[in-house]
Amino acid sequence: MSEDGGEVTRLLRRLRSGDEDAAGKLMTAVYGELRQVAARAMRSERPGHTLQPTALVHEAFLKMADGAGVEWRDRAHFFGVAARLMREILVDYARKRGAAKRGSGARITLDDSLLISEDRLGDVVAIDQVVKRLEALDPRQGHIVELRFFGGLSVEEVAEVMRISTPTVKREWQSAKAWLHRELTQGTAS
Amino acid sequence: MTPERWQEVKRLFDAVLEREPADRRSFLEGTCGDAAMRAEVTALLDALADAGSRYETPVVAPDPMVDRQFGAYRILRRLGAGGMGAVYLAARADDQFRRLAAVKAIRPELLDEHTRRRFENERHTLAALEHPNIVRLLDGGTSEDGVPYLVMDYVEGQPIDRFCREHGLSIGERLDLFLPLCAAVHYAHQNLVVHRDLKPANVLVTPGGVPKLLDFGIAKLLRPEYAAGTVGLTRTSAQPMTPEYASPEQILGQPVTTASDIYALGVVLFTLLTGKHPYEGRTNSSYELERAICETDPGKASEAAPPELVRQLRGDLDTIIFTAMRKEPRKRYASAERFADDIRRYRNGQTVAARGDSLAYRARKFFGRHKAAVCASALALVLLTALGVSDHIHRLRAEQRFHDLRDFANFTINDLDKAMRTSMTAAREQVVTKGSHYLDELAKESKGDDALELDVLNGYLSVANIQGSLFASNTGQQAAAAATAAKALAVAEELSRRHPADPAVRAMRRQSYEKLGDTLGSGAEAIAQYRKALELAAGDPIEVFRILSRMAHMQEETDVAAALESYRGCESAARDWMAHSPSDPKVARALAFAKENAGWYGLLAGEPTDAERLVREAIALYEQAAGAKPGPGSRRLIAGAYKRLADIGKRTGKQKEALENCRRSLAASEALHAEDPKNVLYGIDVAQARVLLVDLLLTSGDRAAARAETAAAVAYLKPLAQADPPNRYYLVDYVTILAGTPFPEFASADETLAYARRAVDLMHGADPETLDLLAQACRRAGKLDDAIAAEQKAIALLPAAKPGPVPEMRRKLAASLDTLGGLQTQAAQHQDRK
Repeated sequence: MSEDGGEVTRLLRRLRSGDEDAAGKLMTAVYGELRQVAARAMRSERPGHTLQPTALVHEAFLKMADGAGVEWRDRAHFFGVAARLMREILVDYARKRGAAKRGSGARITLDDSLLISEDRLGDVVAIDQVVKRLEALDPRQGHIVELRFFGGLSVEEVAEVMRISTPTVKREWQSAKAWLHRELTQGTAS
Repeated sequence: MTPERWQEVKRLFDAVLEREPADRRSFLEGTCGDAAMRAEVTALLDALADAGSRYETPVVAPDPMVDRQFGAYRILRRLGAGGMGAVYLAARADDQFRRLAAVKAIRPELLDEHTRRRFENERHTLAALEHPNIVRLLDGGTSEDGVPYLVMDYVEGQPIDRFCREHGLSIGERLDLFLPLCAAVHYAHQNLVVHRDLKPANVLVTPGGVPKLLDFGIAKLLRPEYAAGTVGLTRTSAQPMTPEYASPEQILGQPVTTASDIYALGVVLFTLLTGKHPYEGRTNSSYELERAICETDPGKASEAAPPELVRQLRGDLDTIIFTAMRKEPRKRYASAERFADDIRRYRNGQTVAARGDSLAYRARKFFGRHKAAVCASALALVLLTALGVSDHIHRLRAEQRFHDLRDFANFTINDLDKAMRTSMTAAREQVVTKGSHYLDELAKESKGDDALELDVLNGYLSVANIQGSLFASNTGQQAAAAATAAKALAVAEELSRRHPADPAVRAMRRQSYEKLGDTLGSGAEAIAQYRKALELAAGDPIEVFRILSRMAHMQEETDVAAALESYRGCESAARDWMAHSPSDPKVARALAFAKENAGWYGLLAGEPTDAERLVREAIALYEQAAGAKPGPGSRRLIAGAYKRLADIGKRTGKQKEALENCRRSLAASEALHAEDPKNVLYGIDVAQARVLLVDLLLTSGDRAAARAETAAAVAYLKPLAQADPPNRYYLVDYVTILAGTPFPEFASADETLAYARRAVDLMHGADPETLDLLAQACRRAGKLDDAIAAEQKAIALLPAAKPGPVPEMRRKLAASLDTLGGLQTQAAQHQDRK
């Protein structure tokens, strides 16, 4: 564990100093871990444990970047990477869940705000599709949405990860939200 | 839209947003001559306003506090932040029932050494406050790294002002929500605790409509200069935390008493009834606001309210609020209870104590009462009376009307609950609060009276049900519900001792166990209660079915074999039920549900023998239950069941039927997708059905049909797989087709390999299924070594092997690797022979 931890911490540091090659390596490392954590959650080996993205990312983070020595900027980068991966895992999960759980219909969600509800999963798929269109139109803006919505990064953290100014992030986020909402509610793609 | 156009739209949108809202339209008209562009920007502005905070809650939120331990509690996620610090959702680390709590981590700089000691002392006093409308302080202390924290009950709810607004509550409903607050404040005052920071943000209303006061006494805990009698403070340190709700004496730094809370309650009521603050619009700075609070009268609520409410607020309510908000503490209501009494009197159409005693006033009241009697609905009257019930119990008993009262209690608690199940949750909660108090009273008097005890028991069960069963639309008060269920069980056991053979008593005992199981959440404890309920339910198939399906649901996540057994039990219970009442419309759906799940969990548990028959029978029943015009939900359910059937057929060697079912599932999914093309889930259903169809046809040996369906699948999937940015799951489905197809015309081996590599890249090389596809593609391209490497990588990614049956995926990948290894050996031998 600590061996991996050191590796991830090193990669994060390289990423922060602008080493783009580190991003790909980090992506591969984190993805495997996240997949495993998510798969375990999905098989529900642990009682009462259902997919819970925040906890999953944390679990992965704690395991991979041995906590203490990591400063917030590195944490932001980690979540920046995790945002993309989590987005993919969630969409896959939504799909598989739809296929596997059909028989029991709407009954499967326990009334617990910790768990992702079936409705929210539907949301995830829908938003993923729209964000894809935004990415085609404006890649930078698409990335901001991904970090904010799928990664839960704050405006400051997005600015750090993308190396742009905070006001820019705020501005872009406004128009991105407007665009997303219009696409999702009216859906007139152009 | 082109990217260039979007940049232009965005620039204009940003510029417009920088203007004041009122100037935006004219600015847009003035700057932009392009009507289409203007329309675009206007639509975006509307969308932004409409979106609200919808996208602000991320799916994944990083927080360094998560997973940290505070005392016995482990942080799960952040709930919010305030002046004192952030609040987190936490769970008891040592608690298998995952009891939730809220942990407030306090900014360390708020506490110096002196304050910290005081903090320790006072929180014990606060922890003793126990009231249904006060959020209980459970624990507190200082974490290892020096962060002071408080642990309190977790309340899932909205601030009271937002709750009123979003639920569109009437004045009467708002008053009813406010009354328990007065009771809570009164209770705390009797225990010598003053809140000091009452405001809407500190009152959370649960989804069931129960108001809960937060942070009682916390203000003093953190700012001891608030304490009554402290002198010599500078003005700044005496500043209240929230000037909008502070009383004149708080602003002036004078002693704070219970009367200060009465004042704040008055401001809260004003805000709840009018949607505005009493001094809103009259001041521009906090200095002016503080002066106004100390020197000028607040506006009348009726004058601040929207026009349609003026008549309701004018008069009594204006007076009540004004009395609570008097500048001089001693002229305010003497207690929160008196305040509440006056509101209750107003609600009952009686004269209000705060009003004078003039003839005109009393005449108006009299008229109002008669009008109310004519206009009010029966339900409203019943409710009003119900709220007063417990106060009158003794008098009524003296009047020999005790039996009437009992019937009435039955009506309000049981029948009324049924009537209001779909609406008026707030009213329901009121009835529960009053009702459970009344029941406790009644329980004391009912000892030994069989009929009365049965009534009490019935009442407790209804109350427990409303309080928070896992399955009804509930108020989330699990702990309270469990306590009520335990009370019900105690009465039931008592009755059962006297009448061991009575079927009614037996049924009530069963219901009590079941209710206790529901309220205990999940785990062995709940299952044990259900089992006791099951024993008592023997012979009643409907009850057995219900209890077993709850149990099975709980077991699905933890123990597939146990879930299977429960679903089998459900099936047999549903069959008994059907034999008993074949025309009950619920029977068919229940049986279908049981069968499909028994089949499915049988397959999961490694017992696939009956899976097909069961799912098939389920389909017939689903169709029967859906009727002549099934909705999209039923149709997707049926389509899914057919595909599952096809899957089962494939595994059990029934090719022909599998094909038929697969086509049927495909047609149904295509129809749904055609009706709603934007629903991606339908699109995925279609893709998955197509992949399975091609697979089935290839195994069947019908080359012509396989070729035709492969062509159809390629036509459907290719554009989706080539989309840019790529769509992963469509791409994987497409590669599945290409890698498995014997028809070279659809893709060359190199092309397939390229797609497979792309899919693996998109999955970051970490998905066993795509790696297996890559191995197949490599093999087709003649790259055996690469194929073996990919397959080995896939197997390495599988979860660690456990004892017991080998999971299907591991078996499949191992077989592929085996084949590849064989091919490699052959190739090597071939090489040798040359």
